[in-house]
Amino acid sequence: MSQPAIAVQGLSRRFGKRAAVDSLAFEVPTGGVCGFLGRNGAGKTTAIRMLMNLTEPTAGRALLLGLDARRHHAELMSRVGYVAEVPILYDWMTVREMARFTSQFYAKWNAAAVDALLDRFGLDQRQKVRHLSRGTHAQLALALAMGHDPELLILDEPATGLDVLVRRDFLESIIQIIQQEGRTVLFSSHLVHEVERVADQIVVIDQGRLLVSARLDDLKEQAGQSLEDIFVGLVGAGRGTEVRQ
Amino acid sequence: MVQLKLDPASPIPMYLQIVEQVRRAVACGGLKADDEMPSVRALASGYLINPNTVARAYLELEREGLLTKRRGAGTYVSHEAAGLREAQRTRIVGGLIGQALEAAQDFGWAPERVRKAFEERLNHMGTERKR
Repeated sequence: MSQPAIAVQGLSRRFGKRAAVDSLAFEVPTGGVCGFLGRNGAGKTTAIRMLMNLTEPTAGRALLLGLDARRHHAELMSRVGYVAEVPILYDWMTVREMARFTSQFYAKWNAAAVDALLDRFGLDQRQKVRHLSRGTHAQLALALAMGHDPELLILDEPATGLDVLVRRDFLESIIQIIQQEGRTVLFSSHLVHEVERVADQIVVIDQGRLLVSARLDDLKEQAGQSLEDIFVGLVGAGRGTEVRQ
Repeated sequence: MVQLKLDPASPIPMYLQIVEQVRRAVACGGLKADDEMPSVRALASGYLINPNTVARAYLELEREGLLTKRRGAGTYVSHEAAGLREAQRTRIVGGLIGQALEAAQDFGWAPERVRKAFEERLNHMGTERKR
C-alpha cells in the first residue's frame, strides 16, 4: 500500500478547558475523496486548521503527503490546495487581479487551468470580487486553490450557502478535479447529502472525537441504512433526544 | 447505452446500484455482447459520482465475467454474458421469490398457503396476458 495522503495521529486542541479536537486519528488514502462530517461546532474547522498549520495542536500531529504538517509547512503549501470556510478574497480586486495576485505566492502556477475553471464556472474575469454572489465567490476560491496543481485539496465546508444548482456545479468540479489520478480531496460538511454523492470515504466526528472512519460503501453495506440514518444514529447516540429537537 | 437510475441517498452502496443495474440490463437483453460501456470517466461525470465508485463497480462486473476490458479500447459486454444471462435471470427471480418466502415465514404462513397464493398469482398473470 502506498502511503496515505493524510494521516492524523492523536491530534488534539484545547481552548482553555474545552477540548475542541480530542485525540483524533484517521487516514485518507491517496486518490480518495474523504467526506469529513460533523454537526456545526463538532471540531471540523479546528481539525482542518491544524492540518493546514494555521492552528497549533495541543498534542499529536498530522502528516500530509507523508510530511509533518508543522515541520514541512513551506513545502506542503506548494503541494496542498486549501479553501477556508470563509475564503479570504480582496473585495476591491477583479477576478483576474485576484488570480494574478494569488499566482505570485507560488513557484509553479497553471494560469491556463485556472482560466479554464473560471470559464467553466461562468465567471467574468473583469468582475470585481465585491460583486460576486456567494456561490461564485466559493467557485473563485476553488479555482484559485487549484492553480498550483495540488496533489491534495482540503476544503472546509465548500458548498455551504450555495443554492442547489450551484452546489451541483460545485460537486461536478470536484469530480473533474479527482479525475486526475492520484489526487486526493478532503472536504468537510455538516450536510450528509452533499457528501454522499462524491465521497468514497467518510470520517464522522462529534465533540472533537472520532466516531467513525470507513469506506462509505462498507458503512452502508454493514448498516443496511442510508448515510443520513447512520449519521443521526452515530451523532445522536450519546445525546438522547437532543438531536431530534 | 445503458440508462442508470442512481440514488446516492439510498442505503444501497452506489457501486452496488451500478452492478445490479448492469446485471439486470444483461439479463433483460438491454445490454448485449460487444456493446461498449461508457468509460469510468464519462459515467462519473455524467452521473456526478466518484470515479472510484464506478471503477469498483466495473471491477466487480469484470470479476463476474459480464464485462471485459479490451486493451486500449475500453470496456465491453463480454461474450460470456449471453451464457451468464440465464444464470442472472435465475438469480434475480430466485432472489425475489426468496424475499416473498421470507415475508410469508414472518407471517407464519404454512407452505400450503404460500403455494396457493403463488398459484393464484400465476393464474392471474396468465389471464392478464391473454387479454
